[in-house]
Amino acid sequence: MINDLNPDGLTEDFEVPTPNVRSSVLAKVLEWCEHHKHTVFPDDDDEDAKKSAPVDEWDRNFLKVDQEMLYEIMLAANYLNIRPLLDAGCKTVAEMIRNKSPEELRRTFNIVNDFSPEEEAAIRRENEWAEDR
Amino acid sequence: MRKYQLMGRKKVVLRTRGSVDYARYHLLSLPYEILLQILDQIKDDIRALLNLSLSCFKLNTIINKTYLYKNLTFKNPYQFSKFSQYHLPIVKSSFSRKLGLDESSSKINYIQSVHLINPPPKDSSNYKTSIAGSYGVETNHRTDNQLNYSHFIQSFISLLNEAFGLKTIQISEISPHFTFPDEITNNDHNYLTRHIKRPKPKRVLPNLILKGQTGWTLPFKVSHISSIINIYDTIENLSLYNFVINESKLIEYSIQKPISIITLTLNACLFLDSSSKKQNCKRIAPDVFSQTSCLQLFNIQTVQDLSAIDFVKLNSKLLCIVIDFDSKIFFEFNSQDKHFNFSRYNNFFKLICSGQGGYSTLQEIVLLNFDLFDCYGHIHNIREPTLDEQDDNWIETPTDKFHQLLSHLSRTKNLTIILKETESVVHKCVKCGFTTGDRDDPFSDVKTIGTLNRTEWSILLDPLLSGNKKCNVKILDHSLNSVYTRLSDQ
Repeated sequence: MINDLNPDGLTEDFEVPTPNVRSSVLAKVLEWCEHHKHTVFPDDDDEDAKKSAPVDEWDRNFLKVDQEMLYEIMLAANYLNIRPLLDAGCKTVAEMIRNKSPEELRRTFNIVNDFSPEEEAAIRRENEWAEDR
Repeated sequence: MRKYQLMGRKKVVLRTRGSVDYARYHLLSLPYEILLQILDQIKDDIRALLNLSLSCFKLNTIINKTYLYKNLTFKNPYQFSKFSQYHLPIVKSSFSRKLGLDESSSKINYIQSVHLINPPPKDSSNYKTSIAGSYGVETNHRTDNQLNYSHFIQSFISLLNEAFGLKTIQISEISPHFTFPDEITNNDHNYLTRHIKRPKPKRVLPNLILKGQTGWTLPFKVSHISSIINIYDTIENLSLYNFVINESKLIEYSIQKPISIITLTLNACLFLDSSSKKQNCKRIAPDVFSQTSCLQLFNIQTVQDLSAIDFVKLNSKLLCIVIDFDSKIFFEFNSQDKHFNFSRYNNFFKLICSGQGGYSTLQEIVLLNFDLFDCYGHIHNIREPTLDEQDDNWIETPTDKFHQLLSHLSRTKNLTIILKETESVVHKCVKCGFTTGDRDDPFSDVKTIGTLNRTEWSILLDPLLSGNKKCNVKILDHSLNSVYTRLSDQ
């Protein structure tokens, strides 16, 4: 992680800039790193292995936080280039999306419905063919 | 995609809307790449995608553009019918089009690939197919609500006419009775089109893939691609799976509209050469492959299928041949092992690399899934005769060796070898330069392809590199990363 933040390969001490990362979020990220310091993750290039790997039990519990904190952790993981943590966050959000109706999705993610009933009906009609996919 | 192509599309959602301001840490405030990474996790869950796309305008746009309408697969004609009814009104006249009465939907702009499975044949209600004249096989009955043939063709043509971003068309499970209508129209024919009206822009289709129905090997006809030829001027790569290329049938068909099929890929296709039956007739190139400059042969089934090279090179434009070295025809099988048949194929490669006669236009040979370096072996301190010496010598030199194959390949201008995925052991001899490693280690003199350095490659490829110094050689691994390169000016 430190090496990722030092692309120029500086040998002397250097500053790790973490603007916009709250201390509580950074503490969570460091907790995750500490827990996984010996974990061997699939190669970054192996998209299939990454995608098919389920979120492990510890990560699942670790990411049981409110949505705001979850997104902050994901943003910090993205900024600090901690791919396995970002993947776990994405999978957690994806699980929250599955098996929910549009209305349930709006409630879960606090999304404003900006469609009129006619527009929603039209979208249902235009995507009807895809339901058999 | 050009700006004009986006004009005049029917939009489901017509009103413009202001974007909703969400909190800083909200699903819809996440950077686009992270949002896509989340959606990637559910891309195979069509129900989840559809529900999410109904939740708000922003997600609807992202999901339509990136998932639902980017790569379309229609499992059956009925599904294509449902799609076309909403998105592709059949164009009846240019007048009604100008009035905006039959515009296609804006989603057509997102389409990059279309996969049609099991296209309906003409009058598919009660087909019976005779096999060897002895018994009949009834093909699948189609239910009444399935798309009829003419509607399917109209919708398909409409899709090709409207989807300017289309990069790949795949049609699979093609039944023996399916063809497009035979007519190939040339719209540039009449005086008005040529001299007064502005000519239509040339259209290029990067990939067209046709696969026959499982269990069948179908004779390839021009009518398998006629409707596509009518719309596109160039097909960059035509891939045929499980077809029979019948020379006499293809040369019978004359195409009025010029079409360029740049690369022809034959995968597990059979070739029927009619030239032996018509000894007195001069062989000519078929119109459909008159511009083909690259021929790719994968999963070659029989020796005769290699004659497809002779057939295509009749157009005098063949520049590149790609040959799949993993094809079973190249090997002799015994109970435990398989061996490359050098005695049979060394002469074949000598011919195609000769640069003479019909092969004079050939610029490049690509050998795919190459796995013969374990055949490398030689006797030390005995100089191999050069190619010129071999030609002059009245005593026939043995032609069944790996180094002979490399010597023949060296005659081509550009040779690319793409290694097979599994690494093979290449050499066990320390005397000829493979000196790295601990000699006390019983495995130290065993080298795999992936561990060779440049010097070791030079030793291994010596018959190739010294045979013709003007031959550009590229060795790539299975992921197409360069392993070794020798350019002629080096």
